[in-house]
Amino acid sequence: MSWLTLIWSASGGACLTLGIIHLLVWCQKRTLRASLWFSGVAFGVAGIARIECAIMRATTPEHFLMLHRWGHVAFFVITISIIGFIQSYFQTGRPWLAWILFAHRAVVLVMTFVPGPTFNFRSVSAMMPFGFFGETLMAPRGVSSPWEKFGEASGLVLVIYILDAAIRLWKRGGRRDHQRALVVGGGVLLFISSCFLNSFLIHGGFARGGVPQAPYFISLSFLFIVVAMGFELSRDLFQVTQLASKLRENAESMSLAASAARMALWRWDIPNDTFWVSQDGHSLYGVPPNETIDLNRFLETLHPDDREPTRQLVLRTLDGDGDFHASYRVIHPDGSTRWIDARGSTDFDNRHQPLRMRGVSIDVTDRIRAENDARGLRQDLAHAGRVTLLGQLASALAHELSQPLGAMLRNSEAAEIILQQPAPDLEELRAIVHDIHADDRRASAVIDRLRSLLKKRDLQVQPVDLKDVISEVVHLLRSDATARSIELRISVAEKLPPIQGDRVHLSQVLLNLVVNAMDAIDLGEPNHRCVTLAASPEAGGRMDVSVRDSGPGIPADVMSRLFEPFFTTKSHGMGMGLPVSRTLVEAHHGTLSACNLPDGGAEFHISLPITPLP
Amino acid sequence: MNAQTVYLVDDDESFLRATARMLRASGYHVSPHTSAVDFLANLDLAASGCVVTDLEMPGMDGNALQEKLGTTLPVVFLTAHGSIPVTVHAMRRGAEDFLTKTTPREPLLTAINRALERDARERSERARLDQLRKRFDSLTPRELEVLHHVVRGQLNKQTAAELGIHERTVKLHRTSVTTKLGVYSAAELTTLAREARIFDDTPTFPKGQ
Repeated sequence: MSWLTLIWSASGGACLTLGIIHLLVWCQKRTLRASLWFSGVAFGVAGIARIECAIMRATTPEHFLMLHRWGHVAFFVITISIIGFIQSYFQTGRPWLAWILFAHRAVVLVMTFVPGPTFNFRSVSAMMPFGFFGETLMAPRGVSSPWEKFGEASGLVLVIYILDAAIRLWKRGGRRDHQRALVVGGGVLLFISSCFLNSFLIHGGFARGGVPQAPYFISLSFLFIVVAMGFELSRDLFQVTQLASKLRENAESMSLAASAARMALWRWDIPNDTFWVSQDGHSLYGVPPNETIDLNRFLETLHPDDREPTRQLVLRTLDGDGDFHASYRVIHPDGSTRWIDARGSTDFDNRHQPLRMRGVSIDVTDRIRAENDARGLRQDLAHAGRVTLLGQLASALAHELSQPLGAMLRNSEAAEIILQQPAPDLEELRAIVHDIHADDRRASAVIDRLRSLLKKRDLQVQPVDLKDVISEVVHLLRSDATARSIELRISVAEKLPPIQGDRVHLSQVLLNLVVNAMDAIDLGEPNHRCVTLAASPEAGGRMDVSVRDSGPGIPADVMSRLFEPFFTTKSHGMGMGLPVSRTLVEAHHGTLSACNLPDGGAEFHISLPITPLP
Repeated sequence: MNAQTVYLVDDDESFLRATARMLRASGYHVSPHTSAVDFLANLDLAASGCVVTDLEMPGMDGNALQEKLGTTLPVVFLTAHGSIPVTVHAMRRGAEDFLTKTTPREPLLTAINRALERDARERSERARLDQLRKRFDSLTPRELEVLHHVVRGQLNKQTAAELGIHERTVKLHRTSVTTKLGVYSAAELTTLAREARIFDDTPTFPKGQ
């Protein structure tokens, strides 16, 4: 077959192929309009290639002219498609230019099909053969029409339109946009040059008063544009593939990370009440992998006590700002319990209806267990501290108990004697029995106080009146203080607001501080041996409690180590009293500190928050 | 003198009341006080008895009370807990006994009786001494001096020489002394003087108290 046919067919075939491909792309994804317009351009150019192929060998003027007309149809299609492509792909084409172009081309098309000679030719008399690189082609012999320039002008407008859009795209900036502008702009320039060449050759022939000595090769010119556009579109597709694989990689990394952290990602489609859960989510919640999950199914996985509160929280979140944070227990089918911490955020539509909640759930069982262990250890420590402390008070407590016990003994001895008398004094006996009861209660109270201090127990937070605690502590230590000739003074305001706290722990702290104070006084030999306990509310909603002694004060090198565990300046004791006391005070959200008083002696100061009034 | 009083001092009212009851039922005369200061303020020094007191009390404690009392009345200490130093300290100071508050009746009464006996004994001893000393009241200072020499075993001649008087004057004084005292031999005089502790270097009571 002739090589000219080959070239034109190849070019037309290529355009056709590209057009089909991009048409299919558009069919797959309707939003990729650029591909649709491009396929329009490609088909148009393919059509022109076919027509040029036929025109080259047209033997009759009528055939020639008819093909010419169809050529204009193809031009029209190409023009429309190029406008569409530029608008959807570049989005920088000027609309009024586009309209001019459209109108121009439309007019040409209409006029072409008006009876009479075509737009370009006034008349064509015959088809003359001519040689072209070894091939024999046919060329029209005729007179060109002045309207021809008008037709060609549209080509110019097209070029202007494309170049203008390309320049505007370049100005818009961005590396990608520069690339696009360059490629398409470059393609257009090549097209122009090619068209000029074509025009020159064709019209040169006419000018020489004869027959053009070259075939039309506008399709080849358009090929530059087609290739440029196609290249750009393909690059986009390639980028999309790259992005897709990066996304997949990212998704895999996230999934791995989430797995390692024992996290599950979830998404709740609220209107349809369905959950998507990442692959770890199913195992985290103990749900079989393929089971669909809705809100109720999710709640079923929770511990019965946590179901209703969590449901309430979800509803409140949807009504509120959409930020979800919950902690709950999940019971697995095998009966084991895991602690979960879940956080999510909600997307709302413009009427504030919830659309979607996305979130993360983390298995925090290990952390919760560690916290529980720590709490248990703290209790053990506090208990040990209490026991040690009470050991130091043993002698004081012995005195506290022997008073009522001794009294009971004496009373019962007296009763025995009286009963042996001939006429026992019943009044006296009644008084004796009454006193025995009273002393029994007194002894029991001391023992109960002791027992509650010695028991290992959980923190029990209740409203506590510090006045009671202080007077109990003083009462407990009174005999010890008397034995050491130390005066215990109380300086407490009339009405103290209650503190939220654990009564036993607070007693323990105060006991510790007062015992320390008395030990300090024994060290020095001051004139007045006095420990003062004071409590008063302070500004800022806090309660100040202080224990002051008239001892020698705290030496500078000891002051910095006071609250260090196992640090002690005494021959007896573990050195845990102050560290434990500080821990207990801090558990009440308070602070414990020490300082030396200007007049001598030391003060230990506790600051506790007061319960806000309801 | 027959009515000896057991003075009870304890700041714990219930214990005080119960102890008083038991003692009264056991036949003692009891005077209870809740503070040492109160007890001292109302004390009749002439009254015989003993003191049963708590050791640890606010204000004046048991030790201070014992110090204040001196040897006026014997003291029995009651306490909840006694350490060895405290016990030794109290006993050194002449406490009659040191017991715990939960000591049963028998040992407590034994201690109280002992204390009361001691007090009675000491008082009668003191009274006797007083009486003895009174007999020496009638002696003039010169006569006392002569007696002093006689008690020291000196002959009349030596006495006269030391005092710078005549031997006969000495003899006259001696007669006066023996007549006033109603004692006739030198040996008896010596015994009497020693018993009355007229010439002791460490006087226990001011003379003529």
